[in-house]
Amino acid sequence: MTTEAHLHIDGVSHRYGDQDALVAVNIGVAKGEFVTLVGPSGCGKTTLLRIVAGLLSPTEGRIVLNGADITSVPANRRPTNLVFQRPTLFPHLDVRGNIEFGLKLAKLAKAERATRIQEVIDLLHLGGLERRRPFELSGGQMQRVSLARALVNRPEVLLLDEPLSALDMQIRLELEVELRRVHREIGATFLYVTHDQREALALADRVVVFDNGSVAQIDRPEDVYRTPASAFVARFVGDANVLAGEVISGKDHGENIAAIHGCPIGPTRHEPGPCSVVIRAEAWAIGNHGSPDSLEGTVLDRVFRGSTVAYRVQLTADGQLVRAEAAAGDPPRAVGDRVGLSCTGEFVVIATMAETDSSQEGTSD
Amino acid sequence: MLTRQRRGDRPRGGILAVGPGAVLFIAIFVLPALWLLATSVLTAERFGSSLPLTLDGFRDIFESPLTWTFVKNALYIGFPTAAVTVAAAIPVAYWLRFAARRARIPVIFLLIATLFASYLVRIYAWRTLLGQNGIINVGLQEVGLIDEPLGFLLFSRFATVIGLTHLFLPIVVMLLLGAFQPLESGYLEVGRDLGAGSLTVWRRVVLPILAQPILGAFMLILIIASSDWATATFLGGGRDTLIGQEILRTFQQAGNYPRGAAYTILLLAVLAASFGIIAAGLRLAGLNNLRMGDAAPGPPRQAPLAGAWTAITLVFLWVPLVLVILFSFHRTAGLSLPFEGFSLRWYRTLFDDGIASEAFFRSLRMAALVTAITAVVGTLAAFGLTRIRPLARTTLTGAFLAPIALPPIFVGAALLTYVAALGYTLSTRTILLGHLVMTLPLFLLMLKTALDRLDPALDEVSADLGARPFQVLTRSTLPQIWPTIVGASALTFAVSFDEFPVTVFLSGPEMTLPLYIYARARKTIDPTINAVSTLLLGVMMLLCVIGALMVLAAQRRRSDQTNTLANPA
Repeated sequence: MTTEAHLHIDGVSHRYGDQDALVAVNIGVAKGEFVTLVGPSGCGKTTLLRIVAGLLSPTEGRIVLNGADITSVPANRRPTNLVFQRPTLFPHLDVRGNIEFGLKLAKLAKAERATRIQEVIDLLHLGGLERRRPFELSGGQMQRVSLARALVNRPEVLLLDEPLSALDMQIRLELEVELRRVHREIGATFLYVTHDQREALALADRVVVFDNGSVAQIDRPEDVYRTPASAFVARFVGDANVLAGEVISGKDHGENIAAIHGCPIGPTRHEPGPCSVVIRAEAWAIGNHGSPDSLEGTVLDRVFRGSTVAYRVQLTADGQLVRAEAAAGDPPRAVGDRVGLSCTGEFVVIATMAETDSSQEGTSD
Repeated sequence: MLTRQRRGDRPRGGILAVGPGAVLFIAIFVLPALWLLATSVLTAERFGSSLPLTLDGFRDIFESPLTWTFVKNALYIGFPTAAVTVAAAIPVAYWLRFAARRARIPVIFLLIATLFASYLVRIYAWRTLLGQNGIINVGLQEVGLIDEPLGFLLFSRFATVIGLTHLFLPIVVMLLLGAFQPLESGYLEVGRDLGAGSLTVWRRVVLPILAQPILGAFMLILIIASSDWATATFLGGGRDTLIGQEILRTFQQAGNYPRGAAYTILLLAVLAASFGIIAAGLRLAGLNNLRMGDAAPGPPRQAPLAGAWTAITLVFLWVPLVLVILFSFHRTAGLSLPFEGFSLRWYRTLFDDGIASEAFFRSLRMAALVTAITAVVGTLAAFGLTRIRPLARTTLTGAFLAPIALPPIFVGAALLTYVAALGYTLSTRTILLGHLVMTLPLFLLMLKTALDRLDPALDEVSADLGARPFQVLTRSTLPQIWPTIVGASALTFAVSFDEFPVTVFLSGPEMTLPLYIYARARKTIDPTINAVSTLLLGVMMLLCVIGALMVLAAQRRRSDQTNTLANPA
């Protein structure tokens, strides 16, 4: 890292009783960066966020902000603010009162408070709603107020705990755009937790993928997507297949070839031997049964998705299930059809890990 | 909610179900209440009233300078009691809500169990605790903190307030626990995240949000404490006459019903004014009828101070009871330290005393009858309320629940004047009516709460599967709420068995157990009373345990059935 990290999560571990929620987490966040923490439910990402916020003390490790160790600083004195999963707006205050809450506690002058409140109301398009009570707002409006309430304090780091997960899809997409815009306009450091990998990739400068309390990968979204570091990451992000295969030595000092059941997929620098091959659903071409260099299988299921059609194909050779995506205009295949799958897109070879099971269904969203 | 809104959706039978309860309640509460109001403007006869209409009753009380003294004395007891009780209950409710985890149910049980000790005996227990030779004084002297016994502990306003707080604390804790329930800890965490320290979170988040229920509990205690006279009689020393005592005296000794009615109405007016001020204050601050929105729940919190306070509260509640039980086995007649050895003599005295056992069994029979009537009428009424028009529902519910918000003196006085006007003499039958007025609202409230929490979809599913309306009732609704019916019935039994303030107004020559205790405690001070109340406590606990076991057994049976259905052997 060329610049000193703005926020450094240093070796943080946390145990609940005899359960490890977090294990030796190390993350450096640069100033103004938008970092998402993504992983399945229960993987510890919310725990980590609460530790950074100061609502929880880590069993081990430190939180370092601007070079200073803030691990023992209580939540109410940290320059961080947390946007919760639910709006949690104070029912006894109106929108303005809610937004003003932190400012009043910071004992800011009335004029200064008014300026900041107006700024944040403009920023989040909350004009006209100041006098409303929380129950008079829609879900999306409530979350925007919740966001405003946190931002108005100009925190060094804004922490967001799945703030959009309880909203309708349409509103969620709108607010995602708002969030990116707000981030650009104020340039603060954002740490965003979500279990939705689509959202994580869409919003972030960098993505941190969590697996059971440890960091599986930290990279830019494109890199996490195209070069997953492990089978877990591959399955979690995007609609991927992790298939058992092998790497065959290249002839005459040529490149090694990755293959599945003898069917060549493409060149790779990986060492020869058994491996796992990660192929995204959209990287398959579904051709006719018996085509050269294709994997034979039977169509088990077909789901129309608007611009694409998703197929599940069971390979004849070993029964592995493959998720393949075809464009809506491609020749349709019916359930029970025998087809030949060939890989026309990108693939990644990763070492076989203990947890790679033969009957994978690549995890999506 | 089980209540239907649209005409077409509403199952029939509402009026039929609520009918008996409504008729009964009109007869024993609404009409007597109206009659009491009427009595206040009638002419006084000896233990009765007659035409012509006159304002003499009111004129008497307003012209007497003592009237305001009586009111003032009552409020001087009422306000401090309400304040202390609510203030003491808040940390306990907080701890139970946020920090208790597995200790929650045992602690709640310990709290509520103290309510099973007789009302009178709990007041009485403080007499032994606070006296010159009582535990506290003796203890403090032994430790060397004081040289002479503290005089102000007993026969003072302090003692009355302590005694009343002891009576009402468990109830207020449960009320506040209900108020705390919808307050997710997310609100507390947001407060901290935005910069608030612990005290500030209380000041700016918890208390404002809960202001309405807290003040509601305050008001409830104010009403009961201001009109209470038994505690003041035992612990207050008799220097200050409270309006409750004056009302009782006016009815029972002076026999001036119109004046008694006027006093009662005055008391109501003062309490209503207090309520109005509090309600207006809430509305002005914008703290009334808050709607809790979508809030993040949080993990259990650490609350060591609140936990310590809860422990202190439990000690405060149980020490007097333990002493009562202990001294019921005292070898001598003394009720203060030192303890001089064990003996069963007081129990023997009790069983030898014909009047005592007569009173005991009379109370038992009365409570059983009251419970039977209340359970049947109350259950039907609760169902009926879910099936009638909204306007009728609101009116009837209000009428049914009104006695909870009124001082027991009002209920007693109203029935007394009514019964007298109808020409009946006081007897166990009049006591029965009084008990019904006090138990039906509580029973109905508990049932209504349970019914409101039911999922109407379950009834619809039953109907869809072929059940006729009556079958829906018996096979779908009833099985879900019968634990509530059992619990509410147990509570009804306890309330009736221990009922005192209303019974005092309505009793004839035959005594119930509380009346016996009261009569005896005024004459002799000896451990016989302790023996009675220990037995009482034992009976109540036994009932409670039996009831709980029944409910648990039924739940286990039901889940066993579900298991065998799901996993046929």
